[in-house]
Amino acid sequence: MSQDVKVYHQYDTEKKETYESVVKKWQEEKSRMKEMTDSSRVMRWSYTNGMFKYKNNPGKEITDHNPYINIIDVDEFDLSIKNHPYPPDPPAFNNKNRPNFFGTLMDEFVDDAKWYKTNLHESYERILNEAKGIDLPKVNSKKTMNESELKEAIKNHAKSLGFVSVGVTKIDRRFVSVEIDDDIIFDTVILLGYEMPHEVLYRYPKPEHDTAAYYGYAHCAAHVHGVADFIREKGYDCRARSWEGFIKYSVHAVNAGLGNFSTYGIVHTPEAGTRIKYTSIIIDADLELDLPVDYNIEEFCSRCRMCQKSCPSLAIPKEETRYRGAIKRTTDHIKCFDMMATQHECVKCIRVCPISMLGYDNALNSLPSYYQYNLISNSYKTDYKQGGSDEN
Amino acid sequence: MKIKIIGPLTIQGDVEVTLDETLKSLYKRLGGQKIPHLIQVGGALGLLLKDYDINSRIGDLKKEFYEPSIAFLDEFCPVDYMRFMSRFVLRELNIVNEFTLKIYDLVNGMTEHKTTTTDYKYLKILLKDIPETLGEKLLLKNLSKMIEFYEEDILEHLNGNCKLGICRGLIDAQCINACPAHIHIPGFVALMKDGKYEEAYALMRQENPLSGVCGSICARPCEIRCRRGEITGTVGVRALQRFITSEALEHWKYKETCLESNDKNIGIIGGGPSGLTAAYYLKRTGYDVTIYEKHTEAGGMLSYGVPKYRLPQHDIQEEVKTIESLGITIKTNTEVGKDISFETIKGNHDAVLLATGTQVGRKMAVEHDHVLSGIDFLKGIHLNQLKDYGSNILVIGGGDVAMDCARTAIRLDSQVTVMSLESFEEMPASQEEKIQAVEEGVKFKCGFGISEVKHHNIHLHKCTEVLDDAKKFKPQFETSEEMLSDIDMIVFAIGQSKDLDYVTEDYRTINGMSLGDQVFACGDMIRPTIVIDAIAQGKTVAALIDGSLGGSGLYYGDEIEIPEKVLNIRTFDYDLREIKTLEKDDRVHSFNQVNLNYSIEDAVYEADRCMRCDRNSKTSLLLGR
Repeated sequence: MSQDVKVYHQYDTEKKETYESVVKKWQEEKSRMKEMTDSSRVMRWSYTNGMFKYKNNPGKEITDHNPYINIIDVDEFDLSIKNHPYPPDPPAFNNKNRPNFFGTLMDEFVDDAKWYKTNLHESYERILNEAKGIDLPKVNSKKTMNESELKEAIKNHAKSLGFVSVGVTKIDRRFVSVEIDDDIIFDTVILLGYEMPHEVLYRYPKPEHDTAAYYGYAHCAAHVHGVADFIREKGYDCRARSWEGFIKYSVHAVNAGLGNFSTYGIVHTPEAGTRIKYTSIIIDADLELDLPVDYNIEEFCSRCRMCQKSCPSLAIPKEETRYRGAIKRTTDHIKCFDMMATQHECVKCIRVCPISMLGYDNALNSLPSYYQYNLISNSYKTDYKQGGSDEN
Repeated sequence: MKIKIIGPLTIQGDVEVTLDETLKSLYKRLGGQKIPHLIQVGGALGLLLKDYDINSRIGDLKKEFYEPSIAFLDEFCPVDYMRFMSRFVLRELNIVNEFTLKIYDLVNGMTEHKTTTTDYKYLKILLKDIPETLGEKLLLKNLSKMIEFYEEDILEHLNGNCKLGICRGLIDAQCINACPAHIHIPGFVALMKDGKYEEAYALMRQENPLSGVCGSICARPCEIRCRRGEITGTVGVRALQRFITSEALEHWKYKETCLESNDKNIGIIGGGPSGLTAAYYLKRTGYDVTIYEKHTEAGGMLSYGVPKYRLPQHDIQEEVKTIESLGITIKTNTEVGKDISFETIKGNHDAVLLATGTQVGRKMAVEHDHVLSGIDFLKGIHLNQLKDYGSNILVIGGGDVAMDCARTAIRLDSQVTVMSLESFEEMPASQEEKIQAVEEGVKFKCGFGISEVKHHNIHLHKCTEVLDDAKKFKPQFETSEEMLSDIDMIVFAIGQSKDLDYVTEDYRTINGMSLGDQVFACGDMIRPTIVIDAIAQGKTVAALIDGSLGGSGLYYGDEIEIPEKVLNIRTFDYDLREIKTLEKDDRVHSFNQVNLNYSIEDAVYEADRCMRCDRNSKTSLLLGR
C-alpha cells in the first residue's frame, strides 16, 4: 500500500549547513539506503524533481527465484534497473511531430477503425483519471466472497469477456517504468491476455479487415474495465492498467505461470503462442499467486528459431546474451520498431511461429515425451528435499 | 488408482489402473503398438524399467510411485534424458547445491562435446556418492541406471555423435545428422532455391558422389528426421536431390579438380556404391585408383540388384562416368580369383580395398523344385538369363529386396504374393515401396511363416510375435489352416551373406574396416545396409586409407558458400508436394521409372519449405536459478 512510500528531499534551502555536515549526512543516508534496499524494496530516482524514494517490491522475491527468468547476478541487475530508465521510443514511433503511422494504418486496414480508436481513447482516458482519483467508481461496501472464491470468479469472468490467459502474481517494480510508479498503489496484479485471432494474423503480411496488434490493444481496452467493475462489485478495490509498455508484462506473465519467454523475448503462451496482448488490473486483495511453469517453450524454440531466420529487420538474436546481470534475449527494439511502423505492424515473427500459428500441442509433440514432466511438476506430492528412506 | 500416462499412446492423460495389471497389459490396453524401449514409473525421477520388466505387476511396483505417473518412452536419446533429469532436479525441484550443479555440468557437457573421457570417469565416481536429499539420491540412481542400459550411446556422445540428433550441440541439423554421409541438405536446398543447380550438385558431391542415384532410390533417413516433418509435412529432400542432379548433369560444366598425383596407387575390388565412392575421394586426393569389377558395368547392386523401374540404368551409368572421368581405371569383366589373383592385386597396389558386398542370397531348405534367392532372381531378370519363372510366385521376406522382387515379378505378368512374419505396418520395407506394391497388385500375406511345403502347396502357421519383450528376434507361431496352393516358384528375400573365397585366409574375418597390412573393407561387407550408408562407409574408408599411407586428409574441393536469406514467413501454409508417379497401368507392363521428377515450379515450392535448421543455435540452454 501507498503508506510504505517514503520521500526524501535531496536538499533543503531553509537550512544553512556546512559542507562537511552535508557530507556526513549523506554518508548516514547512504548507509540507511543500503539497509532499506533489502530484498523486498526498490529505490527510485526521479530526475524531474530531484527526489528518490523507496517502494515495497514483493514481486522481486518471485522473479529472483523464478528458474525460468535467468537473472544470474541479482545485485548487478538491481543496480542497472534503478539507474537506467526505459529506452526512448525510436524516431519512427508515435511522436507528435512525426507521421501517425498507426492511426493511418487503422484507418486504412481496419473495417471499424472508429470503434478501435474510440475504445482505445476512452478506455485509456478512464485509466488515467482513475489513477488520479477522478470519477472513481464505487466499491461495493460489502465483500460478497472470500479471496479464493474471488480469484476463481475473476478468472471465469475474464475468460467470458474473451481474455484467454489470466493469472495472478505480485508486481515487481523493477519492471515498472518510473513514470507510473506512483500509480501502482496495490502489489497484487491480475494479468489479462487477449488473443489476436489466428485468421487476422494469417492474412499477414497483407492485413485486411483487421490488424493484429491493434486488434489486441483495442479489445484489451474494451474489456479491461469490465473485469475491474466486476471486482469492485464483489467488494474489492482495484485499478485497471493499460496495455502499454509501462509495466513489462512478459516478466510478470512468466511469474504468473502463463508462459515462457520466446526467442524474441516476449511471452509465449500455450493458449495462443505470442498472438497475445496483455493488460492488467492491480487489486487490493491477497489473491493466491499462480506458480511459474516450464511449458518447454524454450526447449522447443531452441530447435526452431524460425522467427530469427525470418525477421526482415534482423532484430532477433540467435543466442542469449548476458546483459546487466541477466541472461536474456533482447530484440533490438530500434530495428524492430522501425519495421513495425512501416510494415503494417510487421508481426512476421508471430506469423511464422509454429506454436502461435499451428498450435502449442501440435508443435510441442515434436519434443521427446519425457519433457511433459515439467508441466506436472507443480503438482508433485513427494518432498524431494527431504532425506530418502534407506531402501532407495 | 488414477495415474498420469505419458507416451506414444492413443489414450493419454489420467487413466484408472488396477493393481493386478502388468505394465504390458496396461500398455496394450491404452493402444500401444511396439514394445517401448524404456518405462518410467513414478514421476521424472521414478524407477526405470526395460526389456522383460514390462511384465511386472503394477501392484508390485506400488512403493515406486513417488508420483502417480507412468511414462512409456519409445525412441529417445539417453543423454538428453539424463540432461533432462539433472535439469529437473535443479529447476523443478529446486535442489541447487554444488553437487547437483557439478552433475548437471558433466551431463550437459556431453550434449555439447565438452565432457571428456576423464570427466566421464569422474561422473561415474560422483554417482557412487550418497547425498542427503531424496531427489539427489533418485537422480544418481537413475543416472547410473541409464549408464548401465545405454553406455554405448553415451560413449558415442563423448565422441561427438548423437544418433538421433536430439542433442543440438552435437549436430548441424537433424537431417544432416540422420544422413549417414552427412550431406549438407539445407545448404543444397538453399542453393537450388536460388537457381544455382551446379553449385548445389557440387555441394552434394562433396559428401556423396552418387547423389543422383540417391535422388532416386535413397531410403531417406533425412526425411524421417526432418524437423519440418515433425511439425507439419516433411521436405521432399530426395526428390529435390534428383531434380538438382538432372538439371546439373544436363550441362555439366563444373569440372572437379584433383590434387596432384602422389604416385601411390590403390586397388579396389568391387565397383559398387562404396567402392566407387572410395575411388572418387582417393582420386581427388591424388591417388591412382584401379577398380576391379566382375560384371560388364560398374555400379554393383545399383546396376544388378535395384530394378530399373526404381533406378534407370542410364542414371547410374551417367554418374559412374562423372567419377570415371576424373581418371579412374575401371577394369570390367575382371573377377578376382578367376581372371586375376588377389595376390597379384595386392602386389601391384600400395593398398587394397575390398568392397564386394554381399553376393550370396540366403535361402531356407524347403521341398520345392524352384527356389531362388532374391538377389539371384533380380540379377537373372536384369541380365535376361532367367526365363522360366512360372505364373504364381511367392516372395518371402518383408524388406526392400522382397518388395523389389515382388514388383519385378508383377511386371513379368505373374501372380505375386509376399509373405512376411511381421504385420504389414511393421514390415521393414519403406512405406513408399509397400504402398506402390499394393497399388500394382502385389498380394500380401503378413504375419505368417512357412510350416510345411508339399507338392507346390505351402502350409502356413501364424506368427503371433516376431520380437520378444527385449526386442530380440524370437518368432512365436500358432497353428493355422491357411495354405497357399500352386506356387511355381519361391523367392527368398531374407538377407544375403558375403563370399570371401577370393581373398587369402588372413582377410576372411572382417570385424572393422581395417584388416591390417594395407587391406581394407567397406560397404555391405561390414554390415548389410542401405546405399547411402555404403557411400558413407566408402568415404570413411577412403580417409582411413589416406591416413595409413601418410596422407593429410581427404580433399573435398573448395568450400561452397551457402546463402543465408530471410525465410518466407508463410512457409507453414504449404504442405508437402509428393512426387508424381506413373499411372498404375503404365507401371505394371513396363520397367519405366515409377517416380517422376519434379517440375521446376514444384522444386522451388518444395525448397521454400525448408526450415534451415542448420542456422539454429547450438549452445545449450542456460540454467536459470
